[in-house]
Amino acid sequence: MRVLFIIFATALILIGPGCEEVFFEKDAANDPENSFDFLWTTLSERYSLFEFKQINWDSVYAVYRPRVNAGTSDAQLFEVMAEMLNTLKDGHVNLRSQFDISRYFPYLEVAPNFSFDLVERNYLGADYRFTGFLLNQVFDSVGYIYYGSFQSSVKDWELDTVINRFNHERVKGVIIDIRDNEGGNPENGLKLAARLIDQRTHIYTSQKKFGPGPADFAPAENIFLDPNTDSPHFPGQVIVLTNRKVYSAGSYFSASIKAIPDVMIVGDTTGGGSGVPAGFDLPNGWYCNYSSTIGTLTDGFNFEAGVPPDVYLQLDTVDILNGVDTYIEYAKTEILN
Amino acid sequence: MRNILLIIFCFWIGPYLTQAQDVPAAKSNHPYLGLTLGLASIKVKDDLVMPVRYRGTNFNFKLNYIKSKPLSIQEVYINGVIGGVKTKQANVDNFGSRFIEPRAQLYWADIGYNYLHEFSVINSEQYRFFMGGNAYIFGNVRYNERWDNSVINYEGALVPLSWTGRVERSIITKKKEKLLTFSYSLNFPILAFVIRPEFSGVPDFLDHEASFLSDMFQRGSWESFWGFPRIKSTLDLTMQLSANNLMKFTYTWDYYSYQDPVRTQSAGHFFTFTLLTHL
Repeated sequence: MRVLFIIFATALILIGPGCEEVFFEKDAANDPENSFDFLWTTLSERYSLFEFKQINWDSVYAVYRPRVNAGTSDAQLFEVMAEMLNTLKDGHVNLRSQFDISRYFPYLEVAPNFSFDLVERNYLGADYRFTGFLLNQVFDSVGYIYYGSFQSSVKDWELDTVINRFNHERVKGVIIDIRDNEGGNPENGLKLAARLIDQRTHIYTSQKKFGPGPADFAPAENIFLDPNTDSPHFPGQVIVLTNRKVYSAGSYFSASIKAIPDVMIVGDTTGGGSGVPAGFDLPNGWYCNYSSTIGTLTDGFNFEAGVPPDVYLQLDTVDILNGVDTYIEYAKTEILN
Repeated sequence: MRNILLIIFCFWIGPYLTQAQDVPAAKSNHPYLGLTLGLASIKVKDDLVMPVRYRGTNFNFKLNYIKSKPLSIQEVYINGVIGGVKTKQANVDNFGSRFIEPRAQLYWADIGYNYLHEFSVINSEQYRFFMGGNAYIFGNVRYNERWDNSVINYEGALVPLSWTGRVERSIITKKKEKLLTFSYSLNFPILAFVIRPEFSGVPDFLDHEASFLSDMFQRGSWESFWGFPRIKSTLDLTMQLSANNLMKFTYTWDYYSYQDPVRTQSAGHFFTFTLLTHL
């Protein structure tokens, strides 16, 4: 009996490390063909915007898969994968490797409609204030805020400071300029939006992909925002300036502005990016990001391709040469009138 | 460092070795306070973010309080592993400043209560058989900034009921002194409340009114053994020291899997050394 017990104990220790091999699913093979197939399959199960974009993912496979074989080099594989991913025309879809990151920038196809240098030289001037990441100034009885990235967080007391300044200087309205804001944390935008509403407001709707089937979506979820009743609100007419480089959380902020009746968006359609990015490793160690949700305005408009402005404008070339920002001038006129 | 080791030896380990051996009292009330140190070799594969296994050998610690009565053993414990896991690519590939390698921080913890009852009817002088239950909270969290919004990847479980069986075999001298005890125990959950990230692996940060914690628990589900199969197999070698103190070498193999929203699997091999101080 003693011998049996010792044999059992020894066997357990020796065999133990291999035990889970019985249960563990094998690792996905690290070869070009499998890495490609893994990328395609995972996206086919998880990407949320095939239907909206009218993309036949099977036909995409048929085009790109023949370009990959066992002898495909890393550089070639990356190129094929990146090309395949860019058929989605989605800034939240990218492939990351040691030597490159694939990406899709919708704003490269259109006019920038923004120059920070132009704004700084001709409107902010030398004495504008940095209140946290809110660059602010008052000119011609109009308050101006430039918020360049929602990755930079804003504190409530910083907003209080800026709004109190505007109130103190008796501005007639405020321009919130988010041009070139490529996103970050949506909560930063909502802190501003909460100073623009007087009642609980439905600001946008989100729907998550929750299973591998093409129709596996959770019920749409309406997102609401309560007013910030403890803190000062923006005075007068408020106008938000956007361009095509406003993306992701920037578009979500613009979507929330569209839900507020008294606030106007002036400029160009935002870059979109309504799908919340998620990601996964590939068998070869690379990493892929993709859109995992559908985002819509309160009226059901899918803003993956951008939030349209209330007033569409292009920056005038002659204005630029004269140091004039067409968007700011339009907003100023609206506020002062 | 040498001084610290010397102090540990003098005040912690030393007394166990230098005092005269007492005759152990196997079947009376014995409370113990245990400190365990060791190594844990962990493998994780979660199809949400990792198609290949992340693995690593890390530091393992455990604190426990054991109350041994004539017909029962009770234990309260906290067991943890802190360290890292990585894929094979992390070893062989060159990673730059921007591309983050497939290497995650790992936090593995069990906090629980064990109750084992002895079946004296089938016991012999050398063998003791126990059966009982275990309730615990378990978490296995991986953190890797490479995964962006899916930066936190995890499984958590509240297990109010699990089954444990244990057999002990003692080696006893002719003078009826117990020298060594081998024991083998097997544990698996009967009922568990399991929490996992959702299908995308991303928390709902669009809804600013949603709470990460409450969302996590809302997504959780109750599972039987087949829904959350976890097998913990433990082999102990316990040696009697002076003053009823004990020294224990343990090998534990711990494996579990869970299928929702996609399959995740983890396994750990724990090699530990424990000093149990008789209180």
